[in-house]
Amino acid sequence: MASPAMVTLISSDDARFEVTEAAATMSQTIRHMIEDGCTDGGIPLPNVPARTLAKVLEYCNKHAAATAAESSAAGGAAAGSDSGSSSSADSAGKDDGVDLASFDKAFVEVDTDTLYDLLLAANYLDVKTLLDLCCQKVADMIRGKTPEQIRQTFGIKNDFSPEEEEKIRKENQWAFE
Amino acid sequence: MAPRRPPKKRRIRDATTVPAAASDALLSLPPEVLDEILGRLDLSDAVRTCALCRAWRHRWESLPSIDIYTPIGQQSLWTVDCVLPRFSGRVRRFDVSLDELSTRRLDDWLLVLSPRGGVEDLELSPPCPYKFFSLHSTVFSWRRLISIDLFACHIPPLPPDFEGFPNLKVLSLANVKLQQNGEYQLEEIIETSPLLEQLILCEVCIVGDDFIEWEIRATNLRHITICSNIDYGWNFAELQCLNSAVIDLWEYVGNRDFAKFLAGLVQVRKLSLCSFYAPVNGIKILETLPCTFDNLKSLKLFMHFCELPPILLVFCFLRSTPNLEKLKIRIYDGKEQKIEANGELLNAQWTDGMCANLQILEMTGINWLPNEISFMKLILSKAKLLHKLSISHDDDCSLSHVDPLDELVTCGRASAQAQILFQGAAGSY
Repeated sequence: MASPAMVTLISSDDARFEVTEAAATMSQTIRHMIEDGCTDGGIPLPNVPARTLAKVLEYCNKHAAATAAESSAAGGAAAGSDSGSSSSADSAGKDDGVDLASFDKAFVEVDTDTLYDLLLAANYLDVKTLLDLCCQKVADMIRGKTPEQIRQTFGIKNDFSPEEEEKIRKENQWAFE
Repeated sequence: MAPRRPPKKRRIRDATTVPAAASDALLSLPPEVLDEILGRLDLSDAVRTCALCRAWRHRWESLPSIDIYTPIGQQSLWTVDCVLPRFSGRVRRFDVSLDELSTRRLDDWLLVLSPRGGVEDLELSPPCPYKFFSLHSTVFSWRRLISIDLFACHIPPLPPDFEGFPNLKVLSLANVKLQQNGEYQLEEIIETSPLLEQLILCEVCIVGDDFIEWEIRATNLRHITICSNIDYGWNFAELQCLNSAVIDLWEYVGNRDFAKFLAGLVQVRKLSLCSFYAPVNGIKILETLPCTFDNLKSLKLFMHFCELPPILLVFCFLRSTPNLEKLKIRIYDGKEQKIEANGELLNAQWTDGMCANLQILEMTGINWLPNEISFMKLILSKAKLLHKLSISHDDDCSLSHVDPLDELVTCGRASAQAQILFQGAAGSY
């Protein structure tokens, strides 16, 4: 098998990242750039700083590798004639699934600023699964919390007077029960 | 932006003067990203963000769509009356438990939702003990509906301009009442919902005495449930994709040809059938089915071994289901044996090829009646691929299982790998 095609990504602060095309094209934005042939001398990503890009690529490398392992396992199973190879491929795929889920969980255990950076980058780069992961993380940080807890988590300053806040709570009482 | 009002005005609480500039990093996210985040929350979580600060006050109201869901016990009236006037966008799901107060408001809500045209999931039910509510016919114009689930509801006639539900996949009607000739109404709704996959008709009541035969024609239907005390003349047609069916028709043989009725389900893979009812006067016992159920892998019968009709029905199925792998028998309503169906009688029902692929026989809630034991012995002695005979007895059964179980364990088996598992009492149904 030939060595995988590589592409160079350039962050907003001019750091260069060499990654496999498979990992890079998890981003629909980059995929379109490659399809349009705009890869000479590297792909500039003026909206993503190096720190965030490194983190996003960590995610893409992990997921692209898992996808590749899964499809080669599936291919091997299809090629294999006995049922033994198919069952071992199944269990390999299952392990990867568990592994990926715990990787994802740990990946978004970050401070809110990093989470915002990831959200912005995932949105700009159009990496759907990463965007979903980060949105879900923020949603989980809001779910079931009181306004005061949410303010603390996300550094939101309460500019209501106590009377105003009381009035708003009353208007929406059903949601506060 | 220059303030249009003097600063002191802002101390008077007027939300419209709040500057649009974001006050925090979360709110500064691109709107589509923030929509995605808030859209993953329950409505109450999303609405609560209005109390964070001024900038968040109305944020939830600009979500592209919301789901209104009020579980039983929650005050639907407060929720819906609070949300609907403020949120002018699309309500994707409207799933509301209707207490007495909210039932009175229902028409207003549905009429507010109608012009927005976005509801995909509609679920309405009153809490127990339930009172029937009436559905407004405006719902028949909701063409984006994917799922309709109504319980204890009067369903109005179709409006003349009804054009069908082009996206409907699930239609579940339980304890609903339809007007006279409602059979034709059901027929039309089903026929004009080309994507329908799941149809549940449980205790549907149709006004009037006319007996109307009609057809459930649904080429994409994967599951059907029909539970009814009354035969409303349903027939099946073109159910090519049918995977599973649950049929519970009281007086199941009715005045019509039950075998022909069942033949409409010929494609089914998994069938659950109640056959414990006593046949009514003048009704012939089902002895043969007019077709072979080649796809049927799993059959569950709610029956008993006290009388001949349900026993003969089992054999009737075994003759016509060459690929059956799993037979589950749930004993229902049968503790006193009224006839004797001994090994000889049962053996006479046996024909070549029966149970050729049967792997599992489950007998649930038995009473150790001689007929039940004879049936199990027959299957053990004939089914060559049987893996497992699983037995549980009725909770109130006082007979000891020791002797009959011993009789089963020592009787001849066609399959060397057949195991007999005794599970004790069946537990509640």
